[in-house]
Amino acid sequence: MLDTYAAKICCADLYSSELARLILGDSLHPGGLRATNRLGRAMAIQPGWRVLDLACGMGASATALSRVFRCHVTGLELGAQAAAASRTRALSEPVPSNVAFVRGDAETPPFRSGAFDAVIIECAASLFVHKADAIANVVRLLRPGGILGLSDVTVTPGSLPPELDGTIGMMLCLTDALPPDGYQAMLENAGLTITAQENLSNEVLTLLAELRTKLNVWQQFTTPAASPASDLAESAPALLSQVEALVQQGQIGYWHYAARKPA
Amino acid sequence: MTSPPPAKRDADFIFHELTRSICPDCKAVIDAQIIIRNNKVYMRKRCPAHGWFEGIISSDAEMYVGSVRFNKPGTIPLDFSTEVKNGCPLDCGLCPEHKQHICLALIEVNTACNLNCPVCFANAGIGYSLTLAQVESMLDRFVEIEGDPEVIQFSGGEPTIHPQLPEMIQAAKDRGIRQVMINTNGVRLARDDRFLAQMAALDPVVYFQFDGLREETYLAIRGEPLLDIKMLALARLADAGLSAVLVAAIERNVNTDEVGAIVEFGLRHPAVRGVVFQPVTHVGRHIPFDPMTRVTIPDVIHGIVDQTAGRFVLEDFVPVPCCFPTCQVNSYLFVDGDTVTPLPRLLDIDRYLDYITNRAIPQLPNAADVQQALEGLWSASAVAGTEHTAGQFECACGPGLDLPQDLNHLKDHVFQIAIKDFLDAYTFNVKQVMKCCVGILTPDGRAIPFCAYNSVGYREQIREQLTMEQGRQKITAISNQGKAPA
Repeated sequence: MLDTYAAKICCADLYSSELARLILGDSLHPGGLRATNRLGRAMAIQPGWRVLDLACGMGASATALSRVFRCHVTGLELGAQAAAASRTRALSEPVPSNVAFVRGDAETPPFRSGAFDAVIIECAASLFVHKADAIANVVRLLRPGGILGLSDVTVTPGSLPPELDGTIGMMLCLTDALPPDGYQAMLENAGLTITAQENLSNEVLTLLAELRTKLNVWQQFTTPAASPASDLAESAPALLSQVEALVQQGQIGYWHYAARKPA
Repeated sequence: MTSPPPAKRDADFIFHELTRSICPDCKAVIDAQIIIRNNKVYMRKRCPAHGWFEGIISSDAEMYVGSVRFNKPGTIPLDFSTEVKNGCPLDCGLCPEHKQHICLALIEVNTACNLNCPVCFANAGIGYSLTLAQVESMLDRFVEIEGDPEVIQFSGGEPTIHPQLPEMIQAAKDRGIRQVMINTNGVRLARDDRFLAQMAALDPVVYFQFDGLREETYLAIRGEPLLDIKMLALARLADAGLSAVLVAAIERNVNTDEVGAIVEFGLRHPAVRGVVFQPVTHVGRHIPFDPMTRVTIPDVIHGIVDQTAGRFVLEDFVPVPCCFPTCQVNSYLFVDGDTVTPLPRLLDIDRYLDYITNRAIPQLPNAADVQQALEGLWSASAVAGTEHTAGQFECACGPGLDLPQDLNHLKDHVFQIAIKDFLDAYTFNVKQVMKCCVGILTPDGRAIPFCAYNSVGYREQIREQLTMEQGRQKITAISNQGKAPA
């Protein structure tokens, strides 16, 4: 258990690292805030709702959601730096947002049952170690009739080549990702009814193209010894092409789902 | 005395093509001939009610005709807002016959302005002021039709005097729109510390009206001496860490001799990442002009070349393929101290961006990446002073340059020059409008090509409609409170 926890903290810290921020931008998932808004619309988030953003990263989605849908957002994040930075960042924005940030584990969220009208989980469910338990916990947090929005990377089982199955795969959310019907089953098994689902795999290709440009620039400017992540940067172009091909073949994708808890 | 026998003679012009335009008097859609005379290109047309009109559209026929091969296939938007009914340009927009998506969208948040310029295509003054809710729904619609919108520019009137501009900029960012610009005269930025701090936190690119370095230029185009305010605003932008693009309206006999100085000034100023030259469009308010001698793109290019002591050659300026290539030319410079290297000297851009003759692209392993990067730079959506543009610049020509050691500073070294010739009633060409990639968003969910909006009558129609609507809402609000209007 301790090992799992340590791994999660390491992963959370990796996402909030300078390299991740530089390469992925503030919004660490395919489609960025555009995709977040799309999911929010699919969930039909209403003004004044209490919304939980589970594993909220640097808090970009949380602040944007609160302004776009005029709702109250609580962001839960395990990474200590990220949780602190989110708070500072939200306070420094000239246009106020209705957000609060809490540090904690997304698999055991420290909130009372029925506390939220909606919960959003972007690109985080694939990292849950005990997926069924974690989703059951989320369902507990929703009020009757509440909505869960989930977006994540999808992978056809057995399609990952070995070089994408290690740390890299973990960083790209590939290692423990489910196929599209796997998330569907996960939500339905938790007693939810899926109200909308959409294939956003094109967003992965856009993200990969951007990553390629940024990596090019990164390599131009970084001397090999300067960064512990330089090994990664070196092998990255080939890995990107590999992922790109798998997306084009339909083995890797990105989907979102909105699912309702019974009233 | 007998008269000489009749002899056939040659016309003094080449008939280049037939297109459609509008009558400068009544705006009726009429046929128009494009003719070439003495290496200059003119539009000649006849309105059954108002007679013949002729105006210059390019002072260099070779450049005009040669730009055709830069005509890139358009991209179809995800959704259209109107049907084809009366034909272009009366069904905007976009209608399903439009040939390009929107690279750059504008929202005119108000019609009010803190200046009263003799030259103003938007004819700023009394009118409407959009609400935040209206702007949010326009942004949502923009995301809907584009999927992945590239640039939004807030304009007016004067957008900085709209009390909710910061919320509007944030709303665009919250929706994941990549680049946000504000189009401003700089007056408020020069005076208002709190506003400047808000802008610094939101970090839009400032599209900064800057017509020259002489007070007389401002007196002629803006009606008042503004040079000191412009300099103050730019210095404050630099202090606040904001990027500015100088936008110069160029008018014959006013500032055509200043284009070189504007480039040199921009290159040296810490806040400035680019210059956009816009020959004055004779729509809205303008000073008296002769359609036969108006400024066109080649005049500006020649001006820059002649006035910068050998820094540039004509070939440094390349047509933009995403719009109709006669509408805009771009150049990019890599600036390192006093060394200025135009990007077109580093690689054969015209080979990468030649869509007609399709000449073989040099077989580099990354040729496809380079072409993509160049298309990003030679686009109406390229925004100077952004990391995105700097990344594309690096991708296109990185290996050929001694680039700085720090990624964050690369964008400070990439300088853009753009020359954009918007259409007016004398130069209006349906062919160009059909492929226009700059759109004005309207609260009813349309995106109207910029030059159609200004020349055909959409601006007047929408302004009247919004102004009346707002008036009615105010009256209703007042009567609901049970109070009589003052």
